Amino acid sequence: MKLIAKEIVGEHAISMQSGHFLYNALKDNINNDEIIELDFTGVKFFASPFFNASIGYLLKDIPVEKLTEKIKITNLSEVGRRLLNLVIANAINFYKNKNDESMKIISKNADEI
Amino acid sequence: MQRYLVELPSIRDDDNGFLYLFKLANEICSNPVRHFDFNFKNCSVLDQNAVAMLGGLARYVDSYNTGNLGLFGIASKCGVMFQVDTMSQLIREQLIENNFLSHFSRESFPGYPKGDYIGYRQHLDFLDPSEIALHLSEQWLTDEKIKLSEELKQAIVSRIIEIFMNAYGHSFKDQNSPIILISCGQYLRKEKKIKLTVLDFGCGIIENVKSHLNNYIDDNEAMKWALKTGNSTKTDSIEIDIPRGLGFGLLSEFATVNKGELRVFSNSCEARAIGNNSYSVSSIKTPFKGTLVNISINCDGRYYSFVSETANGKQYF
Repeated sequence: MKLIAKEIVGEHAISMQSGHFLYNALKDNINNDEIIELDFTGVKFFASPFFNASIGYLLKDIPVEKLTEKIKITNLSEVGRRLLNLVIANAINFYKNKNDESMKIISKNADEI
Repeated sequence: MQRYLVELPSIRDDDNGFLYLFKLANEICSNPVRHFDFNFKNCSVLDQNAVAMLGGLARYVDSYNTGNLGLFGIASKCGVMFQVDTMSQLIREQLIENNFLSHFSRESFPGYPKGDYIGYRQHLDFLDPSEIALHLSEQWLTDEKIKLSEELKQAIVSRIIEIFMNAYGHSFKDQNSPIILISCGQYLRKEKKIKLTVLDFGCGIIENVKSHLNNYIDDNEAMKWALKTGNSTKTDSIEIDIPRGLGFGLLSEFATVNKGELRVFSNSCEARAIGNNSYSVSSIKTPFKGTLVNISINCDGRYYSFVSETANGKQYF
C-alpha cells in the first residue's frame, strides 16, 4: 500500500501534532502483510518533533528491523532522510533506556519480595 | 509613574553587546512597572541581537502594564517609548526596513524589508511552525535576497525551525511568565552570512532542567544536561512519552559543519557549539532570566557538506 505524506501532514513535516497524524496512519497498517510505501513527494521542510512523534514513536512497539522491513520510504529529500536516521537512532536509545529502567525496577521489587 | 531613561550605545553582535543587553534586561525586568524612554542619540549600530532584545523588553514591560505600549510620538503613562527623533537616519531606516518600528508605532510604515535586515518578528501567543517555515523560505531566504542551493535552503530552514520550536517550548512551559518569543535576523551581504537571534522570557533552560530533574545540579551541569542529545525537559505540551532532545545537537552539528557560530545564553550560562553534537559551557557575568539563541550561518554552499554532518550516523533508510 502507498501512503502519501503530503496528504496526511501537508507540505511541512515539522510539528509533533502532524507527526502524530502520520503515526496513526502507519500504526493502523504496519501489522498487515503488505509493505507500506511512504511517499514524501511535495514535503519540503522537516523538523525533529515531527519524526519523533511519528516514526520514532513507532519504535516503542516494534523493533527497528521490522520498521525498515515494513516501510519503504520514497522521495524523501536528503535533509529529511538524514534527520529521519538521527531520529531513529535516538529513539532506539530512548526506548532501550526506558526498558533498562523498567527492568531495574522489576529486579528491585523482586529483591524486596 | 516612574520614568526611566535608557541612553542606548551602539550594540553589536559580540561579547560586549550581549553583556550590555543582559544588564539592560536585568535592570528593566527587576521592576518593569515603569515608563522607559529609549534614546538613540549615542547609537550608531544596532545588530539583530539588540533589535530582538529591545522588542522583547518592550513586550515584557507591556505584559506588566496596562496596554499603553510605546506609541510613536505619544507619551503614554507607562510602557516603552522608542524615541524615533533621536535616531540617526541609518538606524531609523534599518528599524523601518526590518519591520521593528511598525510594531511600536501608529504610523504606517511602507512594506516589508528591502534592506539587509531580514526581519523582526514576535510571537505572543500561539506559534504556527508552518507559518514560520513559509516566512523563512518565502520572505527571508528568497532568491532576490540570497542565492542558496535548494538543499542548503532546506537545511537552513529546518534548523531554524528547530530553534523556534525549542524557544517556544521554553517560553510556553513557564506559566508564570508571559509567552514572549521574539526573533530578528540580519543578512550580511559582503560576508554572505545570515545572523539570527531568537529569545524568550521564560524561566530559562537551567531552571527548566532543575525543575525537571527534581534534584540538585549546578548550573553548568544543568546546561550541559539540556544540550546533550536525547535529553529533554519535555517543554512541548504533548503528554505521551516519545523520544525527544535532538534540537540542540542538530544545531551544534549544523553550525560546525557550516563553519558558522551558535551561542545559547540562558540563566547564568553560555554554551557555544563546538561540533560532534557538543557544546562548551561557561558562566556569564550577567545572568539572563530567559533564553537567547544566536546563530550565524554561512550562505556559501562551500561551507556545507551533507556527508560530514552524518559521518557518524547509522543509515536506517
